[in-house]
Amino acid sequence: MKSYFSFIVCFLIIFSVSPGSAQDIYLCVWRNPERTMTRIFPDARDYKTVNVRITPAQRKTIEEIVGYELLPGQQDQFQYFEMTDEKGQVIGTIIPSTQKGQFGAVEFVFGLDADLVVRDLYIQRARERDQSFKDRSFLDLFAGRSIREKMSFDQLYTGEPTPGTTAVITGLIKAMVAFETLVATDADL
Amino acid sequence: MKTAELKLDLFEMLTRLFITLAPWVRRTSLMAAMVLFLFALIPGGVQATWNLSVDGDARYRLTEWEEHDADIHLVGASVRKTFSDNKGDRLILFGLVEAEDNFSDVMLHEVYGQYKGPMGAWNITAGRFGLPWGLLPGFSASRLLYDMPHGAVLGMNVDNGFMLSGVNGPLDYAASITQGYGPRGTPDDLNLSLGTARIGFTPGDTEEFSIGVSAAVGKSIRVHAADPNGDADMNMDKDSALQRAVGGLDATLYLGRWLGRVELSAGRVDHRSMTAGFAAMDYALLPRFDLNFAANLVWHGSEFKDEWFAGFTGKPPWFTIRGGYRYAGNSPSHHEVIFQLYRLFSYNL
Repeated sequence: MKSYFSFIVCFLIIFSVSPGSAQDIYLCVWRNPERTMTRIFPDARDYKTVNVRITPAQRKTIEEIVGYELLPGQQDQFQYFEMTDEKGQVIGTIIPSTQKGQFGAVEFVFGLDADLVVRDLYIQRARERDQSFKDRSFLDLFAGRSIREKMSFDQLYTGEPTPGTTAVITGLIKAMVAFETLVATDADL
Repeated sequence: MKTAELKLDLFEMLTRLFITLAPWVRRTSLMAAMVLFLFALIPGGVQATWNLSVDGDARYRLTEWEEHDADIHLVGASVRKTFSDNKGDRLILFGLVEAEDNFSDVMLHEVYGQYKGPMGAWNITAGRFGLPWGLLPGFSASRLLYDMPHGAVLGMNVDNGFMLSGVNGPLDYAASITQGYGPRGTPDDLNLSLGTARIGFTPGDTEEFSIGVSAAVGKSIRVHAADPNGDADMNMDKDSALQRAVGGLDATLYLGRWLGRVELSAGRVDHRSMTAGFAAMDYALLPRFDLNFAANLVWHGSEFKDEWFAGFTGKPPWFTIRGGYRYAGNSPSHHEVIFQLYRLFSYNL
């Protein structure tokens, strides 16, 4: 009886938190990030993790621009990495992004140089039926593109849209909008 | 750049919740957890970022088609604090407290500090951490409904000591020297008696495939948690410590909707040959529904233990639900049906 009582009490506590904090959270869980970081920024000597809180007003701004509600786990915080040189000067930014695919999350990483131009983009982990979104020919569509062009990224791909390609394009735009809203200054843009 | 903000109200709430729900908590484990949280609250002169995670695992079991019970299998709370200097992330402090079996057993499962070299080329870790063996660096079954063979192979999956690790292109490496007592014993003597190492290789751009080679030599306790008599406070004397010399291979493969993991181990444990095999496979049947299969086999001398699992994982919006059937061939209870409700909260501050 004691074990059942404890189970019920704890069950109610654990599952009483609002859905905003619930299990369906798309967090960027990134193991061994240095491996991909050095591919995008081979000239970087170190990196710094930055977490930025998203205020309700900022979240509203981001959602109005992208046209949909941010995913749980991405509504309150934005994480990115500053890539630094030997002197500690920031030479670029790495942003991990997660977007809902058809069979779970599509995780990818992209880098912005000091001029906020896409350096490169790599898919980290995804379990999609159609794997065409992992092709370099698709990912290279975005390399060399400026953050100012982000809202036209969906027009760069002229092939048959798949859940994977849509997730990458949507996630890329969303991450750039968030970065622009939360981090980039007018001078950067 | 943001500096760390002290969330005393949040930690005070967590502490009170801990004390209120678990009046039978072991004092030493709680004190250790408090020390960890207090240390994490100390602001440094450098920039810092926080991550706080809490997860809950509630289970129902039907054993041998007759006996059933339900409990809070595990509640975990972890805090991670990253300090950065003017060039990059430099020091990571991490602690994980786990309360098992309706809060009857509270343990400081991991607590360590890690000093990071530039671009992760080398890292020095000191404290209680996951051993660099097989699939452990990237995967754990502690929240899943099946087991892995690390208790038989190493005696534990976390231990106290020191580790050197790093990443260099497609290669990653880690080597540790630890006490061999696992998370339930921290003797006063340093007595580092277990050496463990792993080299991993992850080719390609998408990290869909990785392999690793592991080795462990030394002495460690008989099992992960306690001796056969149920006494968790055991000393590693000649009757409870096992000599180990084992090697292992591991592989992980993402192939479309399939995800497969394999770990093979072989060597000598307690002066007898030991071979262990683990395999797990997940298949994304529907957008929010996976099928899960696993096998866990151990041959040790003339003893053989096998465990087979088939089940599912569902991911509705609020939580994760898992269920399945587990068969243990060489066990007092052969048949077990398990259902789990699982929830994870994670915050960056």
